[in-house]
Amino acid sequence: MSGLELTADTPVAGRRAERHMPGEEGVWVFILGDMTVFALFFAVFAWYRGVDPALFTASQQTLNAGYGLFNTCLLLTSSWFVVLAMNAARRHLNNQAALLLVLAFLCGLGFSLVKFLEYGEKIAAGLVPTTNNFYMFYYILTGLHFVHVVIGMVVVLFMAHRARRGIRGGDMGFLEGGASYWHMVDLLWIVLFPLIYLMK
Amino acid sequence: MGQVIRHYTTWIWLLLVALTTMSWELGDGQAASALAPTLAAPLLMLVAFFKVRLVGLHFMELRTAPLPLRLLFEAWVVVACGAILVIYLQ
Repeated sequence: MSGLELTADTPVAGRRAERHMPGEEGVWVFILGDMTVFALFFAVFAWYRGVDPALFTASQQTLNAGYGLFNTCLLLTSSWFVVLAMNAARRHLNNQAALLLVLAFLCGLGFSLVKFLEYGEKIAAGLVPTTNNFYMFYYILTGLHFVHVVIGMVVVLFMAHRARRGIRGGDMGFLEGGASYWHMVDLLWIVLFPLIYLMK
Repeated sequence: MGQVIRHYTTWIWLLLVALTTMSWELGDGQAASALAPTLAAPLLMLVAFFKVRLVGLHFMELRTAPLPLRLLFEAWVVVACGAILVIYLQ
């Protein structure tokens, strides 16, 4: 736990010689657990794809990869805003940190709107989870990920609130944990995008 | 704001967006027909997990995290990417 005390008071301006845990250990247990569950889903998806590659390729072609591309860029940008926000927070630039976190949240909101648009189009075209195995996995994987996006957006808003109020000693651990969680949401989508939309 | 943005992670972000656009080109755009799917698909996965490592090491700050945490992350990358590739290539 000594790492946490170090964080609160150590400015990042200098080179960090010591290794430092970004966020609390509990957050990392959760993050790595979540990543493991998703890795299993990736493998199961790849397995079922191998059982019926023709069906998966044909179904994949009914997806709009442009949405996937746009949403990947939104999450990457959102993650970058969070990195910059942490950078600002460590320099005690509270208002800049808060602004950057709100921008990160707005990227998440954009991602959600595109997702709703995409789901709406698919459902209107009669492509639902019961259509076939591809669509079942499409809804399970992107839906499960979307739940993480929504939770992450709430966390990022809380982080913005803390920054706006003024970052106090104990806040850095929370900010780092929240940032790590949001990056995980980005990281999982980085794999989901090629896996579902692009790999033939 | 300038001192906040002038950080090496801004270059990482640009690289991530560039790799994403290239992947889309390869999987769905003009370049999709240039490569055989059996070659393109593993390439797409390797690029994706390279991007995952960039996010993990530089955005999640695992580059400077305690070694066990960093190793757990690296192990996840190897196992997840390896499993997808092995299953795909079967």
